[in-house]
Amino acid sequence: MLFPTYLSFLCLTSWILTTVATNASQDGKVREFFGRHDGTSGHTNNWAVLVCASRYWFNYRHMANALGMYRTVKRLGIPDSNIILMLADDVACNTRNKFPGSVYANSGRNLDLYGDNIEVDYRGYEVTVENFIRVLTGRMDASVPRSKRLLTDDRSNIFVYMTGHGGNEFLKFQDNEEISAFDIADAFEQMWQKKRYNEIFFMIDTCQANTMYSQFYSPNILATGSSEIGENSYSYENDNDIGVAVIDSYTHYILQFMEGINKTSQTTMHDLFASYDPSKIHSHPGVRADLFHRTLDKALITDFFGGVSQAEIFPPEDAYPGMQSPSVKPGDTMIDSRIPSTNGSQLSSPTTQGRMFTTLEMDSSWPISLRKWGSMTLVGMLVAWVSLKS
Amino acid sequence: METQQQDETVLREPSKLSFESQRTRRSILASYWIVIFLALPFWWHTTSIERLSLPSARVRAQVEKELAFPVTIDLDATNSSLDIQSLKNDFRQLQKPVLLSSQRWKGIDMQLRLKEDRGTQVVPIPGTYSVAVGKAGALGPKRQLTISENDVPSLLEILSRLVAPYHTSVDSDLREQRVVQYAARYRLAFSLLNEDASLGQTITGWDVDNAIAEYLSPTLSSLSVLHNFTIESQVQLHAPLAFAPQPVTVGNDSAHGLSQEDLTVFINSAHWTLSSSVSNDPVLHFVLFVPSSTQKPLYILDDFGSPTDSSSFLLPQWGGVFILNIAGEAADKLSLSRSHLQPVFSAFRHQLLALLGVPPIPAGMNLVDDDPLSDWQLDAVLRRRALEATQGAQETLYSIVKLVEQIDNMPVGQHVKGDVQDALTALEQVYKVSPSSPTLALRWSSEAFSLASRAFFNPGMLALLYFPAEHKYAVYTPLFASITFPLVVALGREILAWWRDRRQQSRR
Amino acid sequence: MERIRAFLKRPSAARVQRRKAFASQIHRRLSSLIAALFAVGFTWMIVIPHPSLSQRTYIDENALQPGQVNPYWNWVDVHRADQYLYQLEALRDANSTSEERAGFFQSEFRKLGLVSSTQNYEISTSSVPMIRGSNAYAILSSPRASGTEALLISASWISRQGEGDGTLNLRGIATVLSLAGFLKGYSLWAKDIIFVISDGHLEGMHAWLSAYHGVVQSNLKTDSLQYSSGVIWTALNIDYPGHSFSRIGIFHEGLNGRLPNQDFLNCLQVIGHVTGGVPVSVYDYMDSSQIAHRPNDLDDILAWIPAFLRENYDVREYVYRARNVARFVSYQARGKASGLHGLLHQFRIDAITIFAVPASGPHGFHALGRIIESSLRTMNNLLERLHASFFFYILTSSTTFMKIGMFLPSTVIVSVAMIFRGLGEWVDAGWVLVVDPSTDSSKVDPIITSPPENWVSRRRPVLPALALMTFTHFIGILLFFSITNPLFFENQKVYGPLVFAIACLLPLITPHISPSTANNAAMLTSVLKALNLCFASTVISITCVLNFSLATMVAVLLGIPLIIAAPSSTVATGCLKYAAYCLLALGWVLVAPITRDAIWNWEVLGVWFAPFMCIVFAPLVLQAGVISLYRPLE
Repeated sequence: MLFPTYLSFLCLTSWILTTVATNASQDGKVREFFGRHDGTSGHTNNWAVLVCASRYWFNYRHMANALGMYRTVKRLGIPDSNIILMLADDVACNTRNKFPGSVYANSGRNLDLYGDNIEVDYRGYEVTVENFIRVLTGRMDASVPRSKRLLTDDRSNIFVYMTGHGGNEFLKFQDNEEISAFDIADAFEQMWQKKRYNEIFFMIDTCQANTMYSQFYSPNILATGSSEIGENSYSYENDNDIGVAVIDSYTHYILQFMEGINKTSQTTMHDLFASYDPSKIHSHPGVRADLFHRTLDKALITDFFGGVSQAEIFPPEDAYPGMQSPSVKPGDTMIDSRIPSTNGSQLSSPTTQGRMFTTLEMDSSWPISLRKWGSMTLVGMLVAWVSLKS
Repeated sequence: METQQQDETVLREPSKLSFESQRTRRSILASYWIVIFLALPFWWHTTSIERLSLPSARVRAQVEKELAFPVTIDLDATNSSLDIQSLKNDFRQLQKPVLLSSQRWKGIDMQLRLKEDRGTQVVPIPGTYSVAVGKAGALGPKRQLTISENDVPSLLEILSRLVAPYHTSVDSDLREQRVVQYAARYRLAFSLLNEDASLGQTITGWDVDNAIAEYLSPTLSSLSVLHNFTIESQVQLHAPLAFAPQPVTVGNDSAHGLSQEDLTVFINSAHWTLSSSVSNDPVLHFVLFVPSSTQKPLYILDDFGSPTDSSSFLLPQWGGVFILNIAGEAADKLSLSRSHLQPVFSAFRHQLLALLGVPPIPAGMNLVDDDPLSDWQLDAVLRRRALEATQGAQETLYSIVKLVEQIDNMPVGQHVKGDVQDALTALEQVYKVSPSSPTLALRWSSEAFSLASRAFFNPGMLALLYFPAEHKYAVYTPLFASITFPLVVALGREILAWWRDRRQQSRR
Repeated sequence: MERIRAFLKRPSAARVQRRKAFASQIHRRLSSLIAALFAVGFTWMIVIPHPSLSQRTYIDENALQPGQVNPYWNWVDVHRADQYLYQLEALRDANSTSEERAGFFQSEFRKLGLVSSTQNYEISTSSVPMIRGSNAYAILSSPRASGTEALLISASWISRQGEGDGTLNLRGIATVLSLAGFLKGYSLWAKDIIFVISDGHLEGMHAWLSAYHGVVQSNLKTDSLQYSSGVIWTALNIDYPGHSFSRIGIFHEGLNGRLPNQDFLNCLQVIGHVTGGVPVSVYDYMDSSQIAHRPNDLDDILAWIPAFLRENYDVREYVYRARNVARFVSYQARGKASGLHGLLHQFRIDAITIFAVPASGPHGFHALGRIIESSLRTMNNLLERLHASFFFYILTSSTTFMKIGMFLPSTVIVSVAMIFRGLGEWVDAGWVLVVDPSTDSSKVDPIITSPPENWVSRRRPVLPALALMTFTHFIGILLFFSITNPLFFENQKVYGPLVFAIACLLPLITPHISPSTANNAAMLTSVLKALNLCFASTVISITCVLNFSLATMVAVLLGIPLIIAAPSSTVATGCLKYAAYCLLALGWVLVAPITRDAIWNWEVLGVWFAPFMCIVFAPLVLQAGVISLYRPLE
């Protein structure tokens, strides 16, 4: 009786150790693969997808959330052609609006978010789960116009903002359908497979928002939400002339923080997340950074909100018609451009990554698998012996 | 007592109760079960997702393959200044696998043939390159290269730069990568922006047609094997900047300058509309910016804050900007003629080539003839783009297969299957034509890539929404559990009764 | 395992045996069971006002967002209302006719720029031969929306004070006129607003509503309305009889016991508190929060309670709530509308009356206008009819209510007790226990569990019993037709007792014309009692969910009397019992105001109380009375 238990204990410990060791070694190799020169994000353009998923007059604040984000994103430099704005209802022209044609996000009505220069790409009943997933994955009918497409490439950073009524791993669209966290995670994975993004910043302001990003599994995603599971997200204030709540707490504080950012600001994501104050927001916002390859204090907010990271100055040309590229400085002869598809020297594309991983496994897998199978057969024999005995 | 016993037997055998008939009961039960069994295939068929099988084995085989272009260079080694032995050694160094497997030499298989004897005639194969030593470095037509005698020691380096110009260096990671993705059609949008026409000294027009015809069209026509260009242009009279350039003093004059940071936020996309969005083709923007009279001259500052003499800059993957300072007291309304536009458009041309990934020729070389581009450059781009497209197509096909395997409820329709098969066929063609012609290789590989993308982006391939198992049970249980439970119990009872009957009969 | 096998083998036998055992258990203990059920039911009824059964009110419909708006009603509008009041008082003093008044209102509305018209109507009833009047109404079309829905603001010429005793509602009408001018200045109305100033107390609004919805009854003569708008979703009736008010009372009962959606009342509660600063209470009673400080209101009720209990807060709370419930029951049982709003519920319009309880208190047009404007803004937010909150509830105080599950079972339990008794009587009528005299006690085997008695079945005289029941219902119909005759109301003092006497004496002929009972036939009385109790129980159960108060009233009045109905041994006791039953059944005919009121409501508004009492309630009691005329079986 004593010997089998001792043997099984030995097998189990050896199996655990080998798996741990394998993981560690694999982690090291993975870190080499993913380890980039930290700091730069390597993007050349920015896109934004802003979604307000709830309709009706009493959800005024959700529309104001999305429009506030839209204004911030535009102010910081993303052009309208790179913004997809989805508003499920039109509160500015609602017959109950005391200030027709305007949407305000604070009770003093200081700033009209609806303005005179906004472009809503998906409006009213066009904001559906299917359209949202089609926007993200790019699977559209050929007749969809350019302004409704997300034409990102592998050098695009995307800011995805969602607001509405939500719950545990779902978000309600238009009062009659839901999108689940798995759907968004799958959509992001398809974007990753087709190299439609460089990095994604996902922000969501609903009840139990943090559950929505719990299912992501694609790399380079930074996610933040307004409340934990089981918590509600609260509105910030009412306007007594409009008669409804005009902004949500979480978005209000985010927008307030963003007012201090301009196009060339060096404020990092770490500063943004450190500014969260649960006592003021009345809920606990969360951050998910495990899929994000850079550290948060090196990731700038303007990486997602509109800046271009580098511009190249071209030296002056000699005025000689027909002369081709003269007097390029000696140190600058080569245009050191990598071919875009290779995605950088260290970070390989998923397929090469897949290939590399297979080689990794083939390299070191056989002693580990031998140990695994050996210990498992021993445990199996032990279990069989015990059951037959009784 | 008798009636009591009779009653008891009656009660013990429910089948003997007068109002129950076994045949009727069993036939009713059987009819329910028959309907259920007949309906099962219908239900299965109508709730299943169409998932045709993709040729995943072929796709996987494709992914392992790598494309290689053979590049044959005939070197006229009759010149005495050539050190053939050291050349051979250097070439062997170059051939080391380590170097060849780097990103720079990916897909290029360079062969050097030395014509050592003056007398032998090497049969010129179309598509080979020839190098000779001459007076001055020049790139001739039909893939010829003449190097001067001074450049002979660095012959291999020059050849490497011409054949494989895209290398990765340590600092290229830090620099933004500027080359745009390959697309068969490109729109070039030329904009003349006056910062503020109301302050006087505006440029109301420019001779853009002729300027493009003279300075750009030759380049565009040589690049026509790669891209199909559409050109649009506009003039705007009020295009304010979103920030204030910093004042700077140049000598005794005051001027304004743009720091490095300002360059990144120069484009005021909130207020400037720079391209029409009429089609889905990617756009390269070229902006000629004329500062207003209060902000001119506008210089680009270097890291120390002093003005440089360059007046144009490039925004990676977006386009280029040229800042035109009107000198002195010019008239209120100007129009730019073709000669005024010469520096502008040659800068634009330079930027365009940089954005499209056309490598520059090495220092000291000239182009013979009036060709804007040499064959060496064009071939390098073609090879690179073909390689990208092939790799892109392989990866896309592989990711289609992986996604379909990974996401269970993703439908695969006939179009997707057809496109995948066509893409595989096109890829096979690429490998066939790659030794002979990079142009054909690019054509096939870009077709393979677009087919693979079309398959990937097929609108019908929308993964149906996620329904976790709990939802499925929650929907089906109230509908079916309340029906199936009595049916199953009744069936069980009937079977037990039948079995008991059999046993009793066998006992008797 | 064994038991499962046994269960599967002998399904029928075991089940049948178990059922028989269960039934016999109940039958043995029937009387105590019924007594227990009665006790539980009646105790529950008494406990209804207790705070433990109530819960706080809350706003269920998310779209409403009450009390979040700044009202813009201000002293300019108050001044305008004062000017209208001045003109209305002049109209009153000049004894103007209905047409003149309606003409005045129409012209005032038109001056404000609203589309307006009048409506003349004539109603003929048996109590009052001809009621004539004129209503005036105006429609404010929604500036930006399509006008498919509408809100209604109304004020009647006669206030509801004293249930329409003639006090004029001048200030209410002035408020409506001033509101019309004020609301026209804003473009944020998503629904049309209809202003109605109706004549009389309830009949004017009834005529207007019938014409608006096209359901004009035969005794109403009116022309169709000149202007109409969309479907009316909610309505507010303004009732402001006095000079000022200190609090606002909400009246919500409708015709035939219908109630508006509770969200409407809860909104008003929130708005009164937040926007108006006016306490809101149920009916015109004092708000419960003030009973501790100013106990005068309750003193007349509590006078007969010993002092130490009177000071107890819980007792005062209970008495306050009990008074509210009693007022509610008094309205709902009679199917009366407690105000103009009650006429609207039948068209699926949620309506309440805001009654400014007259006082020398601080509030006037200003507070009332703000409250109404804020309520209108809240109702404006609605996207669909109010459906989220409750339709069956009892408001025990302005902030607490009872859900249906907290009060309905009390009456249902009583009806269950009655039907148990009825079924017991039925079984007893059909089966009689005959003890076999031949059984020798010595031969009785102690092991045998079944008693040596014999149950003998006998025929039940169902048809005679049904004939008798039909006869009493026929008497009820006759009674009903006689009191809906105009002649009845001309000389009600004479005709009332006459009708009463005839109705009481008619059933006396039944014991003589009923067929003699055969030898082994059951007593007619048992069958009659069984059918009577079953029928009464069914009526109570069905009415429970339609009109809880009516069902409870029937249960309380009929529960015990019907159960204890039995043949009487002597003629004298029989006559006394019969007289008592007659009084219970028809005593209300003698009380003139009740009859007049009930018949007026039936003829004009279609309230079912009068027919119900005549055709259902009275016959049931008469049947029980007839039982007591019989001699018991020897």
